[in-house]
Amino acid sequence: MVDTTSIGLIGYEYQFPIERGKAREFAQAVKAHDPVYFAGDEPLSHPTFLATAGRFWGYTFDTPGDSVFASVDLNRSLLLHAEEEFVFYGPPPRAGTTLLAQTKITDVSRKEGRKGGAMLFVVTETSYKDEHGELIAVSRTTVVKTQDSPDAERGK
Amino acid sequence: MKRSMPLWRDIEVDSEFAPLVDEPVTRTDIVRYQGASGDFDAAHHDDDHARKFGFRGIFSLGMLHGGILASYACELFGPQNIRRYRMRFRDIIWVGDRLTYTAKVTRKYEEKGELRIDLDLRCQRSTDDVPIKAEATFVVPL
Repeated sequence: MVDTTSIGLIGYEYQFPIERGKAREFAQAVKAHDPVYFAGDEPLSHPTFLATAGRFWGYTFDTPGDSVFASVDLNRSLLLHAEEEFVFYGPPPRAGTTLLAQTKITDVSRKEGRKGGAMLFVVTETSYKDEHGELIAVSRTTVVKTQDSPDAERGK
Repeated sequence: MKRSMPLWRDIEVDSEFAPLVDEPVTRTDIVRYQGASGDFDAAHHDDDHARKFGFRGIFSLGMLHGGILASYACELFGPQNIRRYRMRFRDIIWVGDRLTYTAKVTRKYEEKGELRIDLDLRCQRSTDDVPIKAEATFVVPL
């Protein structure tokens, strides 16, 4: 169960290596063509590449592993992605860099949906630091769990 | 594909740019993004699985089209210059949807000794609704 007592729950810090091949594959998947993502030994990673950290190297609500998020039951079946935000304190990281990532739950709130069902919003924040402990970027993810089946045509 | 970036003096609030008119969304686009991102939610590649949850079939990932929208914005102002990117996923995107990606300058200002612009970004369907809205901040070299 996730509720307001889950606010502040924080997962372990893990290493997130920005791999050149994986960064390149990602840039191709989001139809990026700028040579800055592909040229040289240390190309820039795509600004939304950070979203892959938890799935390959750490933990997410879907794939919590042995992190504290394993205790958060969000009934995956009706979990939708509502918002995603990235803040960068300089250029996005280059391939060859290894970041330290860590995710915490920063907000849990309940709202009435347009069709009457209650909707549960959960916000997580992930920090990305470089080898020197310097903050490189922060991402904020908002997922929504609806109590009713989503409308088949609109998905809401 | 290399174009020159707009200069600070040429950028104005309400400036708009040539949109990216993409090919219709394919299953291949979706599968490629799932592999690249590690998000293997079966609702994006298994019709039976998607129907179990009330959807008419598989649907795309917001992050795929939010990612393409970022690629488009970064082609205009340089990926190394992006400082903030926020996407709001407003509706499901389906295989076959024809999507157009657009950008408009909403603010031009100086912050922390840098010249910055804010953009209003949209991923719009050919039926005119907007399944993804986003905002971005870029630093603009003089």
